[in-house]
Amino acid sequence: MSPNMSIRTTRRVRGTTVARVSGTYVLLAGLSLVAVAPLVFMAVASFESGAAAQNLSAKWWPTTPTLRNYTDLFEHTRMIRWFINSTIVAVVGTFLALLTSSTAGYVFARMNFPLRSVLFWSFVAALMIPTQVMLIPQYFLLARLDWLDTYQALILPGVTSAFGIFLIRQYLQSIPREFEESARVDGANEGQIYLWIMLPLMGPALATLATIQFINYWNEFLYPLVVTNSDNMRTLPVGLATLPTPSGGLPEVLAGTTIALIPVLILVPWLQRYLTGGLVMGGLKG
Amino acid sequence: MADSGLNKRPTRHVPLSRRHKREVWLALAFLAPTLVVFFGFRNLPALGGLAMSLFDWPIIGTPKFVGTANFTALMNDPLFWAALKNTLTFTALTVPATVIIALALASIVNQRLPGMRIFRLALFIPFITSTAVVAIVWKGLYGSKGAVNQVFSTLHLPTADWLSNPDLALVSVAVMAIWKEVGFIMLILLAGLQTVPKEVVEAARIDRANSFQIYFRIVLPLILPIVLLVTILSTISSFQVFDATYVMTGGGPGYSTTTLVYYIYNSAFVGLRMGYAATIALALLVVILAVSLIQRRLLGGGEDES
Repeated sequence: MSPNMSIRTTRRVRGTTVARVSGTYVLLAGLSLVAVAPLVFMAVASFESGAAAQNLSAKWWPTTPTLRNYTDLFEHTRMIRWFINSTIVAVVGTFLALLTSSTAGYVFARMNFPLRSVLFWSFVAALMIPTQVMLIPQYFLLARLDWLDTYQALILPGVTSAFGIFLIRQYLQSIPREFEESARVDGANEGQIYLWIMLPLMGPALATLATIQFINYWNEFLYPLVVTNSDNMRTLPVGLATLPTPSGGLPEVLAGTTIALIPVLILVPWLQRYLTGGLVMGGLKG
Repeated sequence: MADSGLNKRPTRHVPLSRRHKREVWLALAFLAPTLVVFFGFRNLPALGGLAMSLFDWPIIGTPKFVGTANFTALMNDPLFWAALKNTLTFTALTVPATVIIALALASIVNQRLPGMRIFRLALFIPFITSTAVVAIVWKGLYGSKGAVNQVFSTLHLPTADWLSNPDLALVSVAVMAIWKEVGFIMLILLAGLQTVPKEVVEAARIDRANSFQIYFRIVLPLILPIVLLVTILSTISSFQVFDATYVMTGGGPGYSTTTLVYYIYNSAFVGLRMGYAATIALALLVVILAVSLIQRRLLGGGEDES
Protein backbone atom coordinates (compact mmCIF):
# COMPACT_ATOMS: atom_id res chain seq x y z
CA MET A 1 0.00 0.00 0.00
CA SER A 2 1.29 3.43 -0.87
CA PRO A 3 1.65 6.06 1.86
CA ASN A 4 -0.79 8.51 0.32
CA MET A 5 -3.39 5.74 0.31
CA SER A 6 -3.19 5.44 4.10
CA ILE A 7 -3.50 9.21 4.51
CA ARG A 8 -6.62 9.14 2.42
CA THR A 9 -8.01 6.27 4.52
CA THR A 10 -7.34 8.13 7.75
CA ARG A 11 -9.11 11.18 6.43
CA ARG A 12 -12.10 9.06 5.50
CA VAL A 13 -12.18 7.54 8.98
CA ARG A 14 -12.22 11.02 10.49
CA GLY A 15 -15.06 11.92 8.21
CA THR A 16 -17.14 8.87 9.17
CA THR A 17 -19.72 9.56 11.80
CA VAL A 18 -18.65 8.85 15.35
CA ALA A 19 -21.81 6.82 15.77
CA ARG A 20 -20.79 4.32 13.13
CA VAL A 21 -17.31 3.79 14.50
CA SER A 22 -18.50 3.40 18.07
CA GLY A 23 -21.22 1.05 16.84
CA THR A 24 -18.53 -1.10 15.24
CA TYR A 25 -16.58 -1.16 18.50
CA VAL A 26 -19.62 -2.12 20.58
CA LEU A 27 -20.48 -4.90 18.15
CA LEU A 28 -16.92 -6.23 18.10
CA ALA A 29 -16.62 -6.04 21.86
CA GLY A 30 -19.82 -8.08 22.19
CA LEU A 31 -18.67 -10.68 19.68
CA SER A 32 -15.22 -10.96 21.26
CA LEU A 33 -16.93 -11.44 24.60
CA VAL A 34 -18.92 -14.38 23.20
CA ALA A 35 -15.67 -15.85 21.84
CA VAL A 36 -13.71 -15.74 25.08
CA ALA A 37 -16.44 -15.87 27.76
CA PRO A 38 -16.69 -19.71 27.86
CA LEU A 39 -12.97 -19.92 28.54
CA VAL A 40 -13.12 -17.23 31.21
CA PHE A 41 -16.06 -18.96 32.92
CA MET A 42 -14.05 -22.18 32.80
CA ALA A 43 -11.01 -20.59 34.44
CA VAL A 44 -13.21 -18.91 37.08
CA ALA A 45 -15.04 -22.15 37.88
CA SER A 46 -11.72 -23.97 38.28
CA PHE A 47 -10.97 -21.73 41.30
CA GLU A 48 -14.45 -22.16 42.79
CA SER A 49 -15.29 -24.17 45.88
CA GLY A 50 -18.33 -25.39 47.78
CA ALA A 51 -21.85 -25.28 46.35
CA ALA A 52 -20.89 -22.65 43.77
CA ALA A 53 -18.48 -25.16 42.22
CA GLN A 54 -21.14 -27.60 41.09
CA ASN A 55 -22.18 -25.60 38.03
CA LEU A 56 -20.29 -23.90 35.27
CA SER A 57 -22.06 -20.58 35.49
CA ALA A 58 -21.51 -17.19 33.93
CA LYS A 59 -19.20 -15.60 36.45
CA TRP A 60 -16.21 -13.29 36.07
CA TRP A 61 -14.77 -13.89 39.52
CA PRO A 62 -14.95 -16.89 41.88
CA THR A 63 -17.23 -16.45 44.95
CA THR A 64 -14.95 -18.41 47.23
CA PRO A 65 -11.56 -18.72 45.53
CA THR A 66 -9.45 -21.78 46.22
CA LEU A 67 -6.56 -23.71 44.72
CA ARG A 68 -8.01 -26.94 46.06
CA ASN A 69 -9.23 -28.12 42.63
CA TYR A 70 -5.71 -27.92 41.25
CA THR A 71 -4.08 -29.75 44.13
CA ASP A 72 -6.84 -32.39 43.98
CA LEU A 73 -6.32 -32.80 40.26
CA PHE A 74 -2.60 -33.41 40.63
CA GLU A 75 -3.26 -35.80 43.49
CA HIS A 76 -6.06 -37.84 41.91
CA THR A 77 -5.04 -37.98 38.26
CA ARG A 78 -1.94 -38.43 36.11
CA MET A 79 -2.31 -34.86 34.91
CA ILE A 80 1.40 -34.05 35.08
CA ARG A 81 2.24 -37.19 33.14
CA TRP A 82 -0.35 -36.32 30.46
CA PHE A 83 1.10 -32.85 30.17
CA ILE A 84 4.59 -34.29 29.73
CA ASN A 85 3.28 -36.83 27.20
CA SER A 86 1.57 -34.14 25.15
CA THR A 87 4.70 -32.01 25.24
CA ILE A 88 7.01 -34.84 24.16
CA VAL A 89 4.71 -35.92 21.35
CA ALA A 90 4.11 -32.38 20.08
CA VAL A 91 7.73 -31.26 20.25
CA VAL A 92 9.36 -34.40 18.80
CA GLY A 93 6.63 -34.84 16.20
CA THR A 94 6.82 -31.23 15.07
CA PHE A 95 10.60 -31.42 14.79
CA LEU A 96 10.42 -34.58 12.66
CA ALA A 97 7.69 -33.09 10.48
CA LEU A 98 9.91 -30.09 9.80
CA LEU A 99 12.74 -32.40 8.86
CA THR A 100 10.73 -34.57 6.43
CA SER A 101 8.79 -31.68 4.89
CA SER A 102 11.85 -29.53 4.36
CA THR A 103 13.85 -32.30 2.70
CA ALA A 104 10.95 -33.54 0.59
CA GLY A 105 9.83 -30.01 -0.30
CA TYR A 106 13.38 -29.19 -1.35
CA VAL A 107 13.56 -32.26 -3.55
CA PHE A 108 10.26 -31.51 -5.25
CA ALA A 109 11.16 -27.87 -5.78
CA ARG A 110 14.71 -28.29 -7.02
CA MET A 111 15.69 -31.79 -8.11
CA ASN A 112 14.93 -33.85 -11.18
CA PHE A 113 14.13 -37.51 -11.08
CA PRO A 114 11.74 -39.91 -12.76
CA LEU A 115 8.14 -39.90 -11.53
CA ARG A 116 8.66 -36.61 -9.74
CA SER A 117 5.29 -35.10 -10.52
CA VAL A 118 3.44 -38.38 -10.06
CA LEU A 119 4.92 -38.73 -6.59
CA PHE A 120 4.25 -35.12 -5.69
CA TRP A 121 0.62 -35.17 -6.72
CA SER A 122 0.09 -38.50 -4.97
CA PHE A 123 1.17 -36.76 -1.77
CA VAL A 124 -1.16 -33.87 -2.37
CA ALA A 125 -4.04 -36.18 -3.24
CA ALA A 126 -3.52 -37.94 0.08
CA LEU A 127 -4.65 -34.70 1.74
CA MET A 128 -8.16 -35.56 0.58
CA ILE A 129 -8.31 -38.91 2.33
CA PRO A 130 -9.82 -38.47 5.78
CA THR A 131 -7.58 -39.90 8.49
CA GLN A 132 -10.46 -41.99 9.83
CA VAL A 133 -10.23 -44.17 6.73
CA MET A 134 -6.73 -45.23 7.77
CA LEU A 135 -7.39 -45.41 11.49
CA ILE A 136 -8.43 -49.03 11.77
CA PRO A 137 -5.66 -50.52 9.59
CA GLN A 138 -3.18 -48.29 11.44
CA TYR A 139 -4.43 -49.72 14.70
CA PHE A 140 -3.75 -53.27 13.48
CA LEU A 141 -0.36 -52.29 12.09
CA LEU A 142 0.64 -50.81 15.45
CA ALA A 143 -0.72 -53.85 17.29
CA ARG A 144 1.34 -56.11 15.01
CA LEU A 145 4.49 -54.06 15.71
CA ASP A 146 3.61 -54.15 19.41
CA TRP A 147 3.65 -50.36 19.36
CA LEU A 148 0.24 -49.65 20.88
CA ASP A 149 0.54 -47.45 23.95
CA THR A 150 3.97 -46.07 23.00
CA TYR A 151 5.36 -42.66 22.13
CA GLN A 152 6.33 -43.76 18.64
CA ALA A 153 2.71 -44.70 17.95
CA LEU A 154 1.51 -41.28 19.11
CA ILE A 155 4.13 -39.44 17.07
CA LEU A 156 4.21 -41.47 13.86
CA PRO A 157 1.27 -40.26 11.73
CA GLY A 158 2.11 -36.55 12.05
CA VAL A 159 5.74 -37.09 11.09
CA THR A 160 5.02 -36.61 7.41
CA SER A 161 2.77 -33.85 6.27
CA ALA A 162 1.46 -33.63 2.73
CA PHE A 163 0.48 -30.05 3.45
CA GLY A 164 4.01 -29.37 4.71
CA ILE A 165 5.62 -30.74 1.55
CA PHE A 166 3.25 -28.69 -0.58
CA LEU A 167 3.90 -25.56 1.46
CA ILE A 168 7.70 -25.83 1.35
CA ARG A 169 7.72 -26.60 -2.35
CA GLN A 170 5.51 -23.62 -3.15
CA TYR A 171 7.64 -21.42 -0.97
CA LEU A 172 10.96 -22.50 -2.51
CA GLN A 173 9.63 -22.01 -6.01
CA SER A 174 9.31 -18.32 -5.22
CA ILE A 175 12.99 -18.12 -4.23
CA PRO A 176 15.63 -17.60 -6.93
CA ARG A 177 18.24 -20.30 -7.48
CA GLU A 178 21.22 -17.95 -7.36
CA PHE A 179 21.94 -18.71 -3.70
CA GLU A 180 22.42 -22.45 -4.22
CA GLU A 181 24.10 -22.09 -7.57
CA SER A 182 26.82 -19.85 -6.19
CA ALA A 183 27.37 -22.19 -3.24
CA ARG A 184 27.59 -25.09 -5.68
CA VAL A 185 30.19 -23.22 -7.67
CA ASP A 186 32.11 -22.75 -4.42
CA GLY A 187 32.16 -26.53 -4.06
CA ALA A 188 29.44 -27.12 -1.44
CA ASN A 189 27.79 -30.55 -1.58
CA GLU A 190 24.02 -31.09 -1.55
CA GLY A 191 23.92 -31.84 2.17
CA GLN A 192 25.70 -28.60 2.97
CA ILE A 193 23.49 -26.66 0.59
CA TYR A 194 20.35 -28.03 2.25
CA LEU A 195 21.62 -27.38 5.76
CA TRP A 196 23.29 -23.98 5.37
CA ILE A 197 21.44 -22.39 2.47
CA MET A 198 18.00 -23.90 1.96
CA LEU A 199 16.94 -24.37 5.60
CA PRO A 200 17.53 -20.73 6.58
CA LEU A 201 15.77 -19.60 3.41
CA MET A 202 12.71 -21.67 4.32
CA GLY A 203 12.40 -19.90 7.69
CA PRO A 204 8.92 -18.36 7.38
CA ALA A 205 7.41 -21.45 5.78
CA LEU A 206 8.93 -23.67 8.47
CA ALA A 207 7.51 -21.42 11.18
CA THR A 208 4.05 -21.81 9.68
CA LEU A 209 4.38 -25.54 9.41
CA ALA A 210 5.70 -25.85 12.96
CA THR A 211 2.71 -23.89 14.20
CA ILE A 212 0.17 -26.04 12.42
CA GLN A 213 1.88 -29.28 13.32
CA PHE A 214 2.21 -28.32 16.99
CA ILE A 215 -1.47 -27.41 17.34
CA ASN A 216 -2.48 -30.60 15.56
CA TYR A 217 -0.43 -32.75 17.89
CA TRP A 218 -1.49 -30.84 20.99
CA ASN A 219 -5.20 -30.97 20.16
CA GLU A 220 -5.49 -34.36 18.45
CA PHE A 221 -8.08 -36.59 20.05
CA LEU A 222 -9.43 -39.61 18.13
CA TYR A 223 -6.07 -41.07 17.13
CA PRO A 224 -4.41 -40.98 20.59
CA LEU A 225 -7.68 -42.21 22.08
CA VAL A 226 -7.45 -45.30 19.90
CA VAL A 227 -3.72 -46.08 20.07
CA THR A 228 -3.26 -45.66 23.82
CA ASN A 229 -5.04 -47.46 26.61
CA SER A 230 -3.00 -47.08 29.78
CA ASP A 231 -3.44 -44.06 32.01
CA ASN A 232 0.30 -43.44 31.71
CA MET A 233 0.33 -42.97 27.95
CA ARG A 234 -2.69 -40.70 27.54
CA THR A 235 -2.20 -37.25 26.08
CA LEU A 236 -3.85 -34.24 27.76
CA PRO A 237 -7.13 -34.10 25.81
CA VAL A 238 -7.61 -37.87 25.96
CA GLY A 239 -6.72 -38.09 29.64
CA LEU A 240 -9.11 -35.28 30.55
CA ALA A 241 -11.97 -36.39 28.32
CA THR A 242 -11.88 -39.99 29.53
CA LEU A 243 -11.54 -39.01 33.19
CA PRO A 244 -14.21 -40.75 35.24
CA THR A 245 -15.90 -37.99 37.25
CA PRO A 246 -13.33 -37.34 39.96
CA SER A 247 -14.22 -36.94 43.61
CA GLY A 248 -13.86 -33.19 43.30
CA GLY A 249 -16.40 -33.17 40.46
CA LEU A 250 -16.62 -30.61 37.67
CA PRO A 251 -14.20 -27.91 38.96
CA GLU A 252 -11.41 -30.45 39.21
CA VAL A 253 -11.80 -31.34 35.52
CA LEU A 254 -12.00 -27.65 34.68
CA ALA A 255 -8.70 -27.10 36.47
CA GLY A 256 -7.30 -29.65 34.02
CA THR A 257 -8.83 -28.02 30.93
CA THR A 258 -7.52 -24.64 32.10
CA ILE A 259 -3.99 -26.04 32.32
CA ALA A 260 -4.38 -27.73 28.92
CA LEU A 261 -5.25 -24.41 27.28
CA ILE A 262 -2.41 -22.38 28.80
CA PRO A 263 0.34 -23.31 26.27
CA VAL A 264 -1.77 -22.51 23.21
CA LEU A 265 -3.10 -19.32 24.78
CA ILE A 266 0.45 -18.12 25.40
CA LEU A 267 1.34 -18.85 21.78
CA VAL A 268 -1.82 -17.38 20.27
CA PRO A 269 -0.54 -14.07 18.79
CA TRP A 270 2.33 -15.96 17.22
CA LEU A 271 0.04 -18.75 16.05
CA GLN A 272 -2.34 -16.33 14.42
CA ARG A 273 0.42 -14.65 12.48
CA TYR A 274 2.06 -17.78 11.10
CA LEU A 275 -1.12 -19.75 10.58
CA THR A 276 -2.68 -17.23 8.25
CA GLY A 277 0.66 -16.35 6.72
CA GLY A 278 1.08 -19.98 5.76
CA LEU A 279 -2.42 -20.46 4.47
CA VAL A 280 -2.02 -17.47 2.25
CA MET A 281 1.32 -18.86 1.06
CA GLY A 282 0.10 -22.41 0.50
CA GLY A 283 -3.55 -22.10 -0.34
CA LEU A 284 -4.29 -18.81 -1.94
CA LYS A 285 -1.21 -18.41 -4.02
CA GLY A 286 -0.95 -22.11 -4.91
CA MET B 1 16.30 -39.78 -20.94
CA ALA B 2 14.16 -40.73 -17.99
CA ASP B 3 13.23 -37.21 -17.07
CA SER B 4 12.05 -36.04 -20.44
CA GLY B 5 8.57 -34.59 -20.28
CA LEU B 6 8.60 -34.52 -16.52
CA ASN B 7 10.70 -31.44 -16.04
CA LYS B 8 10.41 -28.30 -18.01
CA ARG B 9 13.51 -26.75 -16.57
CA PRO B 10 16.19 -25.62 -18.98
CA THR B 11 19.02 -28.14 -19.03
CA ARG B 12 22.20 -27.01 -17.37
CA HIS B 13 25.66 -26.92 -18.84
CA VAL B 14 27.02 -29.85 -16.80
CA PRO B 15 27.26 -33.19 -18.68
CA LEU B 16 23.81 -34.50 -18.04
CA SER B 17 23.81 -38.25 -17.57
CA ARG B 18 26.34 -38.43 -14.74
CA ARG B 19 25.08 -35.45 -12.94
CA HIS B 20 21.52 -36.56 -13.38
CA LYS B 21 22.16 -40.02 -11.99
CA ARG B 22 23.66 -38.48 -8.91
CA GLU B 23 20.69 -36.19 -8.53
CA VAL B 24 18.29 -39.13 -8.63
CA TRP B 25 20.14 -40.83 -5.80
CA LEU B 26 20.27 -37.62 -3.81
CA ALA B 27 16.58 -37.05 -4.31
CA LEU B 28 15.88 -40.58 -3.12
CA ALA B 29 18.03 -40.12 -0.05
CA PHE B 30 16.28 -36.86 0.84
CA LEU B 31 12.87 -38.38 0.23
CA ALA B 32 13.49 -41.69 1.98
CA PRO B 33 12.12 -40.87 5.46
CA THR B 34 9.02 -39.30 3.98
CA LEU B 35 8.42 -42.18 1.60
CA VAL B 36 8.78 -44.80 4.33
CA VAL B 37 6.34 -43.15 6.71
CA PHE B 38 3.96 -42.00 4.03
CA PHE B 39 3.64 -45.32 2.29
CA GLY B 40 4.04 -47.49 5.35
CA PHE B 41 1.75 -45.58 7.63
CA ARG B 42 -0.69 -43.79 5.33
CA ASN B 43 -1.02 -45.21 1.85
CA LEU B 44 -0.69 -48.83 2.91
CA PRO B 45 -3.30 -48.45 5.67
CA ALA B 46 -5.59 -46.63 3.25
CA LEU B 47 -5.40 -49.63 0.93
CA GLY B 48 -5.65 -51.88 3.96
CA GLY B 49 -8.93 -50.20 4.80
CA LEU B 50 -10.21 -51.07 1.36
CA ALA B 51 -9.17 -54.70 1.84
CA MET B 52 -10.55 -54.92 5.38
CA SER B 53 -13.99 -53.91 4.20
CA LEU B 54 -14.17 -57.25 2.38
CA PHE B 55 -13.64 -59.20 5.59
CA ASP B 56 -15.52 -60.08 8.71
CA TRP B 57 -12.67 -58.90 10.92
CA PRO B 58 -12.98 -59.29 14.67
CA ILE B 59 -10.45 -57.48 16.88
CA ILE B 60 -9.07 -60.84 18.07
CA GLY B 61 -9.20 -64.02 16.00
CA THR B 62 -8.95 -64.79 12.30
CA PRO B 63 -10.59 -62.59 9.71
CA LYS B 64 -13.00 -64.26 7.33
CA PHE B 65 -13.43 -63.18 3.71
CA VAL B 66 -17.04 -62.17 3.15
CA GLY B 67 -16.88 -60.38 -0.19
CA THR B 68 -19.34 -57.53 -0.40
CA ALA B 69 -21.41 -58.67 2.59
CA ASN B 70 -20.29 -55.64 4.65
CA PHE B 71 -21.53 -53.28 1.94
CA THR B 72 -24.90 -55.05 1.76
CA ALA B 73 -25.14 -54.90 5.54
CA LEU B 74 -24.26 -51.20 5.46
CA MET B 75 -27.00 -50.41 2.98
CA ASN B 76 -29.53 -52.17 5.21
CA ASP B 77 -28.25 -50.72 8.45
CA PRO B 78 -30.69 -48.12 9.82
CA LEU B 79 -27.98 -46.87 12.19
CA PHE B 80 -25.68 -46.07 9.27
CA TRP B 81 -28.40 -44.03 7.59
CA ALA B 82 -29.16 -42.30 10.87
CA ALA B 83 -25.46 -41.48 11.30
CA LEU B 84 -25.27 -40.21 7.73
CA LYS B 85 -28.37 -38.08 8.26
CA ASN B 86 -26.95 -36.68 11.52
CA THR B 87 -23.65 -35.88 9.82
CA LEU B 88 -25.39 -34.13 6.92
CA THR B 89 -27.64 -32.24 9.32
CA PHE B 90 -24.63 -31.21 11.37
CA THR B 91 -22.89 -30.00 8.21
CA ALA B 92 -25.96 -28.06 7.10
CA LEU B 93 -26.21 -26.50 10.56
CA THR B 94 -22.56 -25.52 10.82
CA VAL B 95 -21.02 -24.79 7.41
CA PRO B 96 -23.31 -22.08 5.96
CA ALA B 97 -23.59 -20.38 9.35
CA THR B 98 -19.83 -20.50 9.93
CA VAL B 99 -18.96 -19.13 6.49
CA ILE B 100 -21.59 -16.36 6.57
CA ILE B 101 -20.73 -15.25 10.12
CA ALA B 102 -17.01 -15.44 9.31
CA LEU B 103 -17.50 -13.34 6.19
CA ALA B 104 -19.39 -10.72 8.18
CA LEU B 105 -16.72 -10.73 10.89
CA ALA B 106 -13.90 -10.51 8.35
CA SER B 107 -15.56 -7.51 6.71
CA ILE B 108 -15.96 -5.81 10.08
CA VAL B 109 -12.40 -6.39 11.30
CA ASN B 110 -11.00 -5.44 7.88
CA GLN B 111 -11.78 -1.78 8.64
CA ARG B 112 -8.80 0.43 9.33
CA LEU B 113 -9.59 1.33 12.89
CA PRO B 114 -7.24 1.24 15.87
CA GLY B 115 -7.45 -1.89 18.01
CA MET B 116 -8.71 -4.26 15.31
CA ARG B 117 -5.78 -6.56 16.05
CA ILE B 118 -7.09 -7.23 19.55
CA PHE B 119 -10.55 -8.15 18.26
CA ARG B 120 -9.10 -10.46 15.60
CA LEU B 121 -7.06 -12.15 18.28
CA ALA B 122 -10.03 -12.58 20.64
CA LEU B 123 -12.21 -14.02 17.87
CA PHE B 124 -9.43 -16.39 16.83
CA ILE B 125 -8.78 -17.84 20.29
CA PRO B 126 -11.51 -20.54 20.26
CA PHE B 127 -10.03 -22.08 17.12
CA ILE B 128 -6.68 -23.02 18.62
CA THR B 129 -8.22 -24.81 21.59
CA SER B 130 -8.56 -28.58 21.56
CA THR B 131 -12.11 -29.58 20.62
CA ALA B 132 -12.15 -32.39 23.15
CA VAL B 133 -11.01 -30.02 25.89
CA VAL B 134 -13.46 -27.21 25.16
CA ALA B 135 -16.22 -29.78 24.70
CA ILE B 136 -15.78 -30.61 28.39
CA VAL B 137 -16.26 -26.92 29.13
CA TRP B 138 -19.32 -26.57 26.88
CA LYS B 139 -20.89 -29.63 28.44
CA GLY B 140 -20.70 -27.70 31.72
CA LEU B 141 -22.05 -24.51 30.11
CA TYR B 142 -25.01 -26.47 28.73
CA GLY B 143 -25.74 -28.06 32.14
CA SER B 144 -29.18 -27.54 33.69
CA LYS B 145 -27.79 -24.80 35.95
CA GLY B 146 -24.96 -23.83 33.61
CA ALA B 147 -24.12 -20.51 32.04
CA VAL B 148 -26.34 -20.95 28.96
CA ASN B 149 -29.51 -21.48 30.96
CA GLN B 150 -28.45 -18.76 33.35
CA VAL B 151 -28.14 -16.25 30.51
CA PHE B 152 -31.40 -17.47 28.94
CA SER B 153 -33.37 -17.04 32.14
CA THR B 154 -31.87 -13.59 32.72
CA LEU B 155 -33.15 -12.64 29.28
CA HIS B 156 -36.53 -14.25 30.09
CA LEU B 157 -36.05 -16.88 27.41
CA PRO B 158 -37.10 -20.51 27.98
CA THR B 159 -34.35 -22.70 29.43
CA ALA B 160 -33.75 -26.25 28.18
CA ASP B 161 -31.85 -29.49 28.66
CA TRP B 162 -29.55 -28.68 25.80
CA LEU B 163 -27.68 -31.96 25.56
CA SER B 164 -30.19 -34.46 26.92
CA ASN B 165 -33.07 -33.43 24.68
CA PRO B 166 -32.77 -35.49 21.47
CA ASP B 167 -34.25 -32.64 19.40
CA LEU B 168 -31.74 -30.12 20.70
CA ALA B 169 -28.54 -32.10 21.27
CA LEU B 170 -27.18 -31.95 17.70
CA VAL B 171 -28.01 -28.25 17.40
CA SER B 172 -26.26 -27.57 20.70
CA VAL B 173 -23.13 -29.36 19.52
CA ALA B 174 -23.33 -27.44 16.24
CA VAL B 175 -23.42 -24.11 18.10
CA MET B 176 -20.20 -25.05 19.86
CA ALA B 177 -18.63 -26.07 16.55
CA ILE B 178 -19.53 -22.71 14.98
CA TRP B 179 -18.13 -20.89 18.01
CA LYS B 180 -14.89 -22.81 17.60
CA GLU B 181 -14.39 -22.62 13.82
CA VAL B 182 -15.61 -19.16 12.92
CA GLY B 183 -12.47 -17.26 13.98
CA PHE B 184 -10.25 -19.36 11.74
CA ILE B 185 -12.46 -19.01 8.67
CA MET B 186 -12.65 -15.29 9.43
CA LEU B 187 -8.85 -15.01 9.28
CA ILE B 188 -8.59 -16.76 5.91
CA LEU B 189 -11.38 -14.61 4.46
CA LEU B 190 -9.69 -11.54 5.92
CA ALA B 191 -6.49 -12.46 4.09
CA GLY B 192 -8.64 -12.74 0.98
CA LEU B 193 -10.32 -9.38 1.53
CA GLN B 194 -6.92 -7.77 1.86
CA THR B 195 -5.95 -8.97 -1.61
CA VAL B 196 -8.80 -6.95 -3.15
CA PRO B 197 -7.04 -4.08 -4.91
CA LYS B 198 -7.87 -0.73 -3.33
CA GLU B 199 -7.91 0.92 -6.75
CA VAL B 200 -10.90 -1.13 -7.89
CA VAL B 201 -12.94 -0.14 -4.84
CA GLU B 202 -11.88 3.50 -5.17
CA ALA B 203 -12.82 3.54 -8.83
CA ALA B 204 -16.26 2.18 -8.05
CA ARG B 205 -16.71 4.79 -5.35
CA ILE B 206 -15.83 7.55 -7.80
CA ASP B 207 -18.46 6.07 -10.12
CA ARG B 208 -20.94 6.62 -7.27
CA ALA B 209 -21.45 3.00 -6.37
CA ASN B 210 -22.79 2.71 -2.80
CA SER B 211 -21.15 0.53 -0.14
CA PHE B 212 -23.75 -2.18 -0.63
CA GLN B 213 -23.08 -2.39 -4.37
CA ILE B 214 -19.33 -2.28 -3.85
CA TYR B 215 -19.51 -5.16 -1.39
CA PHE B 216 -21.84 -7.46 -3.29
CA ARG B 217 -20.90 -6.59 -6.87
CA ILE B 218 -17.15 -6.10 -6.55
CA VAL B 219 -15.59 -7.38 -3.34
CA LEU B 220 -17.56 -10.59 -2.99
CA PRO B 221 -17.06 -11.81 -6.58
CA LEU B 222 -13.34 -11.10 -6.23
CA ILE B 223 -12.96 -13.27 -3.15
CA LEU B 224 -15.35 -15.99 -4.31
CA PRO B 225 -12.53 -18.53 -4.91
CA ILE B 226 -11.48 -18.14 -1.27
CA VAL B 227 -15.07 -18.43 -0.08
CA LEU B 228 -15.25 -21.67 -2.05
CA LEU B 229 -12.01 -22.88 -0.51
CA VAL B 230 -13.15 -22.28 3.07
CA THR B 231 -16.55 -23.78 2.34
CA ILE B 232 -14.94 -26.99 1.14
CA LEU B 233 -12.44 -27.01 4.01
CA SER B 234 -15.09 -26.54 6.63
CA THR B 235 -17.43 -29.07 4.99
CA ILE B 236 -14.70 -31.71 5.06
CA SER B 237 -13.91 -31.01 8.69
CA SER B 238 -17.58 -31.03 9.70
CA PHE B 239 -18.00 -34.45 8.08
CA GLN B 240 -15.30 -35.69 10.42
CA VAL B 241 -16.95 -34.45 13.61
CA PHE B 242 -16.18 -36.80 16.46
CA ASP B 243 -14.43 -35.18 19.45
CA ALA B 244 -17.36 -32.93 20.35
CA THR B 245 -20.02 -35.63 20.24
CA TYR B 246 -17.80 -38.16 22.02
CA VAL B 247 -17.26 -35.80 24.94
CA MET B 248 -20.55 -33.91 25.10
CA THR B 249 -23.19 -36.50 24.26
CA GLY B 250 -21.59 -39.91 23.69
CA GLY B 251 -23.60 -40.11 20.47
CA GLY B 252 -26.88 -39.75 22.33
CA PRO B 253 -29.46 -39.22 23.61
CA GLY B 254 -30.61 -42.30 21.72
CA TYR B 255 -28.63 -42.02 18.52
CA SER B 256 -29.48 -38.37 17.94
CA THR B 257 -25.83 -37.24 17.78
CA THR B 258 -24.24 -40.42 16.42
CA THR B 259 -22.26 -39.11 13.46
CA LEU B 260 -20.41 -41.18 10.85
CA VAL B 261 -17.02 -41.01 12.55
CA TYR B 262 -18.62 -41.71 15.89
CA TYR B 263 -20.26 -44.77 14.35
CA ILE B 264 -16.90 -45.88 12.89
CA TYR B 265 -15.30 -45.58 16.32
CA ASN B 266 -18.18 -47.33 18.00
CA SER B 267 -18.31 -50.23 15.53
CA ALA B 268 -14.56 -50.75 15.72
CA PHE B 269 -13.67 -50.24 19.35
CA VAL B 270 -16.93 -50.87 21.17
CA GLY B 271 -18.66 -53.33 18.83
CA LEU B 272 -15.27 -54.79 17.81
CA ARG B 273 -16.38 -55.23 14.18
CA MET B 274 -13.26 -53.91 12.46
CA GLY B 275 -14.18 -54.93 8.90
CA TYR B 276 -17.56 -53.28 9.17
CA ALA B 277 -16.02 -50.14 10.65
CA ALA B 278 -13.59 -50.01 7.69
CA THR B 279 -16.62 -50.21 5.38
CA ILE B 280 -18.27 -47.22 7.08
CA ALA B 281 -14.98 -45.34 6.77
CA LEU B 282 -14.99 -45.97 3.01
CA ALA B 283 -18.55 -44.70 2.82
CA LEU B 284 -17.35 -41.56 4.60
CA LEU B 285 -14.60 -41.13 2.03
CA VAL B 286 -17.09 -41.47 -0.82
CA VAL B 287 -19.46 -38.96 0.78
CA ILE B 288 -16.67 -36.44 1.35
CA LEU B 289 -15.38 -36.74 -2.22
CA ALA B 290 -18.89 -36.48 -3.66
CA VAL B 291 -19.80 -33.42 -1.60
CA SER B 292 -16.54 -31.60 -2.41
CA LEU B 293 -17.11 -32.26 -6.10
CA ILE B 294 -20.69 -31.01 -5.97
CA GLN B 295 -19.64 -27.90 -4.05
CA ARG B 296 -16.91 -27.20 -6.57
CA ARG B 297 -19.49 -27.42 -9.34
CA LEU B 298 -22.08 -25.28 -7.62
CA LEU B 299 -19.85 -22.58 -6.22
CA GLY B 300 -17.00 -22.81 -8.68
CA GLY B 301 -18.71 -20.75 -11.39
CA GLY B 302 -16.96 -17.54 -10.41
CA GLU B 303 -13.55 -19.13 -10.25
CA ASP B 304 -12.59 -18.58 -13.88
CA GLU B 305 -13.69 -14.99 -13.96
CA SER B 306 -11.31 -13.75 -11.28
